[in-house]
Amino acid sequence: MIVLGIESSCDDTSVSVLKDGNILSVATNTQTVHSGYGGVIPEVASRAHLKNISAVLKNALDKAAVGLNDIDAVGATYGPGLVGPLLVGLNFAKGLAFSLSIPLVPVNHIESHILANFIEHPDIEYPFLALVVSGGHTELVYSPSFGKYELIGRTRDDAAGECIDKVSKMLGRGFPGGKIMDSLASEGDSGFTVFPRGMKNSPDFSFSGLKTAVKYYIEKNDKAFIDQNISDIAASFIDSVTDSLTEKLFSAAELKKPATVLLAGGVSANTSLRKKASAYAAKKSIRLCYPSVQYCTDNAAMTAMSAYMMIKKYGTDRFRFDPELDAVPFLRIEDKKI
Amino acid sequence: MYILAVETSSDRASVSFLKETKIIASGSVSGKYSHNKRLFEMIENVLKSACMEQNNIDLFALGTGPGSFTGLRIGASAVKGMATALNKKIIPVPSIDAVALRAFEENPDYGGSDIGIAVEGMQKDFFYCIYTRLEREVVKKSEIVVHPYGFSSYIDGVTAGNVEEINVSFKKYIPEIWPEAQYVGRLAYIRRFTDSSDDSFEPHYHKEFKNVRV
Ligand SMILES: Nc1ncnc2c1ncn2[C@@H]1O[C@H](COP(=O)(O)OP(=O)(O)OP(=O)(O)O)[C@@H](O)[C@H]1O
Ligand SMILES: [Mg+2]
Repeated sequence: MIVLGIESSCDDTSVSVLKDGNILSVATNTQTVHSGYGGVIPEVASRAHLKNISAVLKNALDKAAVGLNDIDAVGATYGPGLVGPLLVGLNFAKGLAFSLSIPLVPVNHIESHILANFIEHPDIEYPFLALVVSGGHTELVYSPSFGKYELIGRTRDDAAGECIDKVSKMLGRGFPGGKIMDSLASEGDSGFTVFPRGMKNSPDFSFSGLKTAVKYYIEKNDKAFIDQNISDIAASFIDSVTDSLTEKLFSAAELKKPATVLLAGGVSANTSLRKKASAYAAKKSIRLCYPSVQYCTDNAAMTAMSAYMMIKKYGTDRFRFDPELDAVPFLRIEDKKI
Repeated sequence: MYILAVETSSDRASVSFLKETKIIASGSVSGKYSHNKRLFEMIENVLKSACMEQNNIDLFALGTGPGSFTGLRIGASAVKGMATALNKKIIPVPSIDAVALRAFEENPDYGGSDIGIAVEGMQKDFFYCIYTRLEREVVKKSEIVVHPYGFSSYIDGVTAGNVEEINVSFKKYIPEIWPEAQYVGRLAYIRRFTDSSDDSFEPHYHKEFKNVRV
């Protein structure tokens, strides 16, 4: 079975072809227009999705050496995300599925970040505990079986990725800041200074206090000092973020005793987070998985994979073309019905 | 030649199935946030009442605005998906041209003169352009401009469009002239050789999206 995945929830237009659970191709257009603004502008993103989506599809099909008539089903992100960008990918997918007379699987973007783990680790065992850390979400999710999710904790304010992006901007290092902060931090000394850890002793996260602390730190010290010690400051900052993330992940793991622990979302590409989580998992002899970097940030391979897994579980009848399928910008994983 | 025409630039979305310039079936819905939920249902119904299958479609006609950004993108992405799947061409037709054609047809008294067309801009403003009729076509006699509600001081002659009368004060106004898929389809047929689109075509947003750099 060949599944086409379409993802457009934020600023990446991505299409992927998946055959029997194996990725044949992924084509992604990452919008660069936003970098000057320090954040994604929804109207600009929506316009770029519509302009580029046909070329991205063509690219993905060419790379996979398959034609549209070989496609058995389409999977498309319908939420959560920015409504304008979601509507472009979703309507394009609806057009394709409708005219090819094939099923269309609505994919929850957060679930797809989690299921991205199955691309390279198809044998992951349930129940699992997943830490979803991305630009818009920071959530601890427990899954007893396929498609069922219980929310254990979530951020009360900023998402971890959002906090990292904002701090990168404050330090004058550009947007998005994840990769930049990661490589700076890898060269620095995390003991250089200590930033606060938010929401101790709670399953929920908080990163706005940390963001403010970094802001004061930058104001308090002169620019030359900041620039001179940038790697050490980045390392100390990232250390605070990944300490909070892992502390809560581990406490929840002690409580829920899952068979597997998963990292998911853009921030799960982070070196420090992976290191800390791996050390813990080794100590507790619990299996830890995270996707390779290209499947951490937004990509349609995870969308196609989710659609494929849902079809395997529920059959194609469940996903017969629904003309009314709508985008749900604030879709929550714990509300999942299918 | 069979044409499927889709028009989603305003609060009223419509779909029309045509044989050349003859309408075989049409459907429409109105409502601010319903286009995404109702578009494919409309397409299904129009195909059904025309007794047609999708593979009968030879050409897609798409209303490209200006108008609601979101509405335009819903129509454009859906039609791009369908046209790609069926390997058929899309002829983009400015929705404001379709409004002009409709204004001339429904008001034959003005056939010999120019008509100003005012299309709702969704941001307390409207798009304005003067058209003249030329055989089966409509021809722009000015550039499209954006005016705030109430603007009318130098607009003489007849204006037609879908801007609510409480928001504009033209000397002579023919209200309730909405863009409709059947007119989009007819213009697409007439323009089938002149206009062609590639995969990356965009609607006529007609408003640069400006943002302050941080
Ligand atoms: N190596 C890294 N270290 C830390 N953060 C990273 C790294 N790589 C990417 N990120 C962060 O990941 C985020 C992007 O992740 P992702 O694409 O999953 O988020 P999103 O799609 O914008 O949000 P959401 O999935 O919640 O809708 C950005 O905030 C980025 O800075
Ligand atoms: Mg994401």
